[in-house]
Amino acid sequence: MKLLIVDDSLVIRNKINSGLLKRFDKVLRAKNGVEAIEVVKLVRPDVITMDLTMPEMDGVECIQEVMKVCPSTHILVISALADKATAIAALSCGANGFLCKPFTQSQLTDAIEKVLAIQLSR
Amino acid sequence: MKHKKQIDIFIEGVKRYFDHLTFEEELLEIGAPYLVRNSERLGLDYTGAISITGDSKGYVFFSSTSPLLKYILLGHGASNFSEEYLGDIVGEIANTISGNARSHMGAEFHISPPKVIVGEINKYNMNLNSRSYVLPIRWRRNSAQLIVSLEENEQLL
Repeated sequence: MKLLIVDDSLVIRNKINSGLLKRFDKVLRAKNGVEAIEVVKLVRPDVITMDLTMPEMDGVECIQEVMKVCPSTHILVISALADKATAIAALSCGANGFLCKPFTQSQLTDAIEKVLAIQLSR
Repeated sequence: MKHKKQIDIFIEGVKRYFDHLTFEEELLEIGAPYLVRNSERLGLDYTGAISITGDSKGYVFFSSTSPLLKYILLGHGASNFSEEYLGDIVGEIANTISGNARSHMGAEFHISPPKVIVGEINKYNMNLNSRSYVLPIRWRRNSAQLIVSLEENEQLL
């Protein structure tokens, strides 16, 4: 399975990578929505972790684009925007889960397992 | 009252951030908030700046000494303390605390991606005739500050 990590923070990309490396065969990274779409077109990842507040193209716009290109991809939003309206907006665009920053590695693992369970049940 | 509520929201955000670092229990000290004129020297070694638009207008800054940022990087499992990593983490902290505040401040509290400033922040598009409030932070014997410079502040001074 392939994972794409989308976050404008290098430290957070590394943290997510180290937490999930063993769960996936291949892990790719993008620092904004524009880069992410390029990777999705080439690689078609099974799962994406998606930040929302990013330069170039924000996360919600990126999710909408991903859904056009690769609708079978499952998306876990990982964002500091902790309000209900943001979570609903992300989920209604096609995201499958929402994890609020700051997060621990165990919270990350739990959240990704829930998203994978949705994927495997289909 | 509105001013106090706003301060409490940011204090909660700071506590929440430090609680999530995977370290042995370490006392986080948040001192009494105080007001400063924007014309005074503001900012420690590195600062993450978040531009706020919507119902509130202005900036939220997380400013820190380098040693404190190095401990935070360790807490995230990072052992690279280069300028790139120090700048990245200070921006991410500012983003996280500001983003968390949105659940209390409302959907019209819009935050920008972070910008990183090295050294003084006073020239960063701030209204030098206005004032900001500062939350002094101490953790692992090192200092940081959360500086909140929002338009509402002026009405309460």
